[in-house]
Amino acid sequence: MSLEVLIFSLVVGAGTYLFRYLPTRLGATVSRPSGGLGRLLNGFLASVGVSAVTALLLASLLPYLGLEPWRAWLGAATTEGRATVVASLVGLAATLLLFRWRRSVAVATLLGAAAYGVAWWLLA
Amino acid sequence: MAYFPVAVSFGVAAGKAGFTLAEAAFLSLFIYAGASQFLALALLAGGAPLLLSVLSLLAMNARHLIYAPALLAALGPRAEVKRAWLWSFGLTDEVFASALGRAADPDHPWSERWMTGLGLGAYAAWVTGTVVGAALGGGAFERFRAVDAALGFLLPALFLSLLLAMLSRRQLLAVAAAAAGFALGAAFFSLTSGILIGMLLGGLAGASVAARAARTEEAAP
Repeated sequence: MSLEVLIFSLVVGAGTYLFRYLPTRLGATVSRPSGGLGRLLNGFLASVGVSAVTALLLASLLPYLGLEPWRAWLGAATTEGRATVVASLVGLAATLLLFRWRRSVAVATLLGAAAYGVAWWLLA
Repeated sequence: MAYFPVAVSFGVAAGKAGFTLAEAAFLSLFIYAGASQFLALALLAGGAPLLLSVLSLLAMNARHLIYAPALLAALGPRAEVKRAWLWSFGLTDEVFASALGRAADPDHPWSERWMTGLGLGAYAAWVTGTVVGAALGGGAFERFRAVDAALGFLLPALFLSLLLAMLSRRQLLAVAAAAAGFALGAAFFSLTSGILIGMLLGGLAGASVAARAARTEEAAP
């Protein structure tokens, strides 16, 4: 096992635990920092999570809808390129619709990925 | 609890990114914070400096600071913190949301015992799911290409679902800024830089929205 992953997990884990635990020692009175700087910090922290997920979504989509798969489909007209691009669009649409229908991250994720797999199998 | 399937997709992603089963299990055992663990995979596999990766994850998880105070405030005089050292470990986004729901439910009172049970159940599902996923993602399905393709697509499907679950009108500017930051960073530097620049710009956009809201509030008579 890489020592780097172990140290990383321990340090981030300890920090995250303290974020969750320490405020219980301080009570309910310290719910949010007030004042100008406190508001800015709250706004920053409230948006970092959704921003990270946005960036991770785009990064995870690059092998599916980035330049390479489009080039493979349109430039070289390969079946695999077309299957990747079309199945990705099917998978994303299925995920979106399933989330709107059931409001469940687990259901939308699993069935969205399954829809991608089926579409890819039919096209490739 | 939807933890098990999401943990399986984390394990699969870790396996596909080249992490061993033990490394994936360590991330889930110690960090135990869903979305930020996916960020850890991207940063560590992308070769980002260790300190920068630690700081990025801590910045992403710092929102957990407000969960316990918000829960204790919702419970009022019914709040107990004797065993908070134990249950606070499991105070993730979803557990926090469930606990707030319980605090508002007059028929089923919140207790430290209930909270500990909920947290331990979710933690067990998260760690077990990670191990199962890492075993699958390590190449068990390479012979079944359609299944392997579907396992690979778990990641974009999960991020899209998480984004939809987190999105509110107030966050739209942050999402746009994060997308622009990612595109710039990925085009000119690397994928890892794109993720970090996207997080930073999105956070700054969120801060500017908060500042503008405060100014409007102050200006109101």
